[in-house]
Amino acid sequence: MTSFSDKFKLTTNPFRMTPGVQDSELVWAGFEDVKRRLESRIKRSTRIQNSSLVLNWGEYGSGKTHAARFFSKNEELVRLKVEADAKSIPYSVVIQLPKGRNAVFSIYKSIIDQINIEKVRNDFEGGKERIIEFIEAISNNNHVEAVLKAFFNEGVDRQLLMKYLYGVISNSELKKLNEFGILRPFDDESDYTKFLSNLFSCLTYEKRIYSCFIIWIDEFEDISVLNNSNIDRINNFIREIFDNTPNNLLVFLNLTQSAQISVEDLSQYMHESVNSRIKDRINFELPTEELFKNYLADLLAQFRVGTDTNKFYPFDEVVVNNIITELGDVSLRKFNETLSLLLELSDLDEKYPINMEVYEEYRADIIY
Amino acid sequence: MSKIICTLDACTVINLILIDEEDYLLKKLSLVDLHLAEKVFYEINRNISKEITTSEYESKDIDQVLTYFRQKRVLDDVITTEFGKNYFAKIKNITNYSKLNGEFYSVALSMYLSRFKSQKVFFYTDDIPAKVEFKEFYNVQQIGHIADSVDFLMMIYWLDDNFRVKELDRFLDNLHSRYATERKLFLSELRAFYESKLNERNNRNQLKRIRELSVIINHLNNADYLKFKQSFSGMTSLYPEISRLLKKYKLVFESSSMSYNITEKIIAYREKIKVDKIYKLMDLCD
Repeated sequence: MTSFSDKFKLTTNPFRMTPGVQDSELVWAGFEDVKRRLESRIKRSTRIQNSSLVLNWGEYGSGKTHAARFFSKNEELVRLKVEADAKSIPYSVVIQLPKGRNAVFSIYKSIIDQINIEKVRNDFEGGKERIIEFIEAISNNNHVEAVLKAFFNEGVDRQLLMKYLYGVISNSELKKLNEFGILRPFDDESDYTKFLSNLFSCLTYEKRIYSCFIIWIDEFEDISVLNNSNIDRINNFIREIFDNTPNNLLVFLNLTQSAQISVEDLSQYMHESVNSRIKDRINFELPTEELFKNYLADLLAQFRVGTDTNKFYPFDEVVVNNIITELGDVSLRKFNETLSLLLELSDLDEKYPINMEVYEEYRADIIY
Repeated sequence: MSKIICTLDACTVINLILIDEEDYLLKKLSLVDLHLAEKVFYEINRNISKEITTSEYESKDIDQVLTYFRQKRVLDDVITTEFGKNYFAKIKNITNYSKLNGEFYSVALSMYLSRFKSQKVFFYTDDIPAKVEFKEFYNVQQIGHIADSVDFLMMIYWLDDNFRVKELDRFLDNLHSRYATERKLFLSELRAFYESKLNERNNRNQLKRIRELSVIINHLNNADYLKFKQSFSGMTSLYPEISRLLKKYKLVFESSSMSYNITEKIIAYREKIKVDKIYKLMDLCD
């Protein structure tokens, strides 16, 4: 039996039907305009101080989650730092908009989950005194100040501090933190918001260690299923985070348009104080024929084994054209699904290259 | 003055618990003469922990709430002592209802209470198909009325002089959010299920089933709940494992029928209460 790579001149089936998770699965193909706009935002934030809020919107399966994960890869952050000639790389986290009652605590916990205290302490080892001075300068809350100092202090047990931050510390364990000025747990949304905003400021202090802090909030459309109280909480959180982190914060809101919510409906759920902060709206639009073909050629090139004069190999270009026409206005995800299925069927039946005859045989199975 | 006699279904009680804030609604339940069928309490007890995450409720809080509802329970033995051990079989026969679930026992309890106390009984359930099924029985037997959580909140509102319109709107909003969130979570799980099937496909027979699943998901995505329900019923024969999702997201399936959708009712009532006054006793006095 001929191997997959020999048949199709590809290392593997390149068509993902769900966003990748491992770095090796996260490749970018085509869609140069969207890529450029996202890169431009990130590079700008690595160079200049002003905090920014950006709205990414598009249909389900248009690549918003993929973009969040791709641009959070260390390799990409390093590349962007070099291209922007920035002092340091960004710190990037991807979270989902929570649907439960304690929205602010859920956001706080999701962010804390992705901050490696040990790594941060190592990174800041050389500049400990300066960061302490900075904390004292920016903080107007003794309690938050104490917790922040403990965050950067190697002398504070990491596990104990994590228990504190997650709110699962016992009274007897809390006593061990008293000597560091931590006398009570965090107990309301204001504590979480103040701590996070000051932490972001510390991490990006003078852009020495991290040039900016990037938060991708995925599934932002879920704001439409929340009750008014939680909608207010989310809005207040965003407003306060930006009020208290005027520098070096970049937040991307990923919004999927659907029957329930469109980008025009967003003003119903967003306070003016937050809406007015949106610096840019990046549309992950439904691809045109040209965009699909550029994407396909670029994707196949990244998985190519050997060479072929046909940039769409193993697909004949006429097959690609037919698929695009038959599918009509569909998302990238649907396009990937169709091509993946066609490739798998061809592989099963050992039929390659995929010309019109092969396509016609499978057409009824793959076009729906 | 005697209180209005009510029985509540498990889904209604769970909805009330989840939308409540600091036991505000729980305290209002003393305004009615509340009874729960034994089976209903069993269902509440079994299902409530799945609905509540530990970060939202302390276990002692939910125990206190359950203790309250336990006190409202009417044991089956109490009914059969009065009406004989064949009572439930008789009701099953009369109603021609095949399931022995909370809805059935609530209807049986309502019949018992209406005859025993010589009063009409209100049965509140958010299981819309059950509501439709029992409506005629209720009417013919003149037991009382079957209504839903929205109606229950509206009734509690006018019974309590201190319950303000703003608060009523807040609880209706919470109820809407509950249904909208369940629908969203269901859609996410259904998509994940579909994607897992996409990854598993290795023969042509599976493709047809996957295609049908894709069409069904599109209905839900497009908020076409009627088409979704009509097409979903055939899914369990194609994918037996999907019955797990049906059980988990019962609320999504039970919240609508051919002519009725509870989330649309909530939206409509929230608009109504902004425009129409709901009169309390004191509002009607000079």
